[in-house]
Amino acid sequence: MINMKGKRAGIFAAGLVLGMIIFIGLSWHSFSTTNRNLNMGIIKALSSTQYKDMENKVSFYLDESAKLASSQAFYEIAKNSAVNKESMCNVINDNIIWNSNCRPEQQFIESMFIEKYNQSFYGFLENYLEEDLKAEYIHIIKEGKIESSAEQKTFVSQEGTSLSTYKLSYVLDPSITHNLNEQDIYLGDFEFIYQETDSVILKCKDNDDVVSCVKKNLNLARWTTKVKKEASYLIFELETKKSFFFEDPEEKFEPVVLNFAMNAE
Amino acid sequence: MQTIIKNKKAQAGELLQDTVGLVIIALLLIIFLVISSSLWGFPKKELETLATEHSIHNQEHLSLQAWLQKSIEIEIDGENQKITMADLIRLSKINPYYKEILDQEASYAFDIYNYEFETSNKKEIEMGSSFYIPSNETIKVNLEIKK
Repeated sequence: MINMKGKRAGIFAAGLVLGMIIFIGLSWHSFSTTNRNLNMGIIKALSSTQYKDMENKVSFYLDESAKLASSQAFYEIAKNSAVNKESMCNVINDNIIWNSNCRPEQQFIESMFIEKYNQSFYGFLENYLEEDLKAEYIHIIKEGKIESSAEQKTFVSQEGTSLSTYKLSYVLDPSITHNLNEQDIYLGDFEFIYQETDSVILKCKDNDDVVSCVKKNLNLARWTTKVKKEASYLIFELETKKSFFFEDPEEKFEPVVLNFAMNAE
Repeated sequence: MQTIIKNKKAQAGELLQDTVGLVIIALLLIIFLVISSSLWGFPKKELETLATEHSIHNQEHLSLQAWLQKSIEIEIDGENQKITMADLIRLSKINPYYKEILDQEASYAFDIYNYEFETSNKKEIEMGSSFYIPSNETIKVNLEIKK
């Protein structure tokens, strides 16, 4: 009888010990797993914020580059009197003579703008620190905006110990849209200036003082006008009311100048 | 009579045995908790420091970005023009006259919070928060707590 009681007590004690071991083991496992997950979560959150910071820096640099590249392209178009220099254009005192065969055309201006913009934009990207952020861009001009699209970049971080690792993927879209009109760049201005000047000259050509008449009648919202007469031509020097950043060859912040001549007879 | 005395002694022994057992179990649990938290637990202080450092950095980063994009009206060649602070930084590189305006604006924005604002052409790993401004020579703008 006593032996039976002893055996029962033994089984009970062993069960108690076994239960304790299982309890401690499970608690240990869940405690360590929770903490490990918590630590990884913290590291992951910090890493994702670092990527967010990087994205901010990159998008700021891209926006500023687009702004500068736009003003550089705008300056270069004006410098070339907004015409294709390879076409048959006559010149008087270094001023290109605008006429029906040599005049600003929207399609050419847009393609020239994209070419010069692209050249300048890549120049700025070349100077940027992060090599792996450089992308191939395709530019389109649409409704006064230049849209530069590039493929998304994926950054992957992997960190951890032998017990656990975490993998963080971060997708960065380097595509940007820059509003040219907000910067006071209107590519339609050149064609408009030609048409407007042509019609004003037609109106003033029989006037005794053709220069004053043209000056008085030529009202352009974003440009100031200087006119003088040389032989039968009117020489125009237009200047933007706003200053732009451009390089030629050193960096400048000045109004953009557009020179051209038109026959006044 | 002898059996009763023996039973009482045995009962006292069992009680003592149970008490010791319970104390050992309690000790084991305490040791287990201490070891586990030191092995896998992210120390609370370290976590707090990390979170504070991170929130300061975030604040610096956002403040600097907002400031660089802020518009300012200044007189250029006799005409008032609206430019951003990033433009002013670029302009101050071309014309030293605008450096004075830039320093004034930076001091007005950051001195009160004990921050040091700096522009340079150095390309190096930054302390604090920094942005890059495109120019013919890239300009680095840095914001850091004064030492």
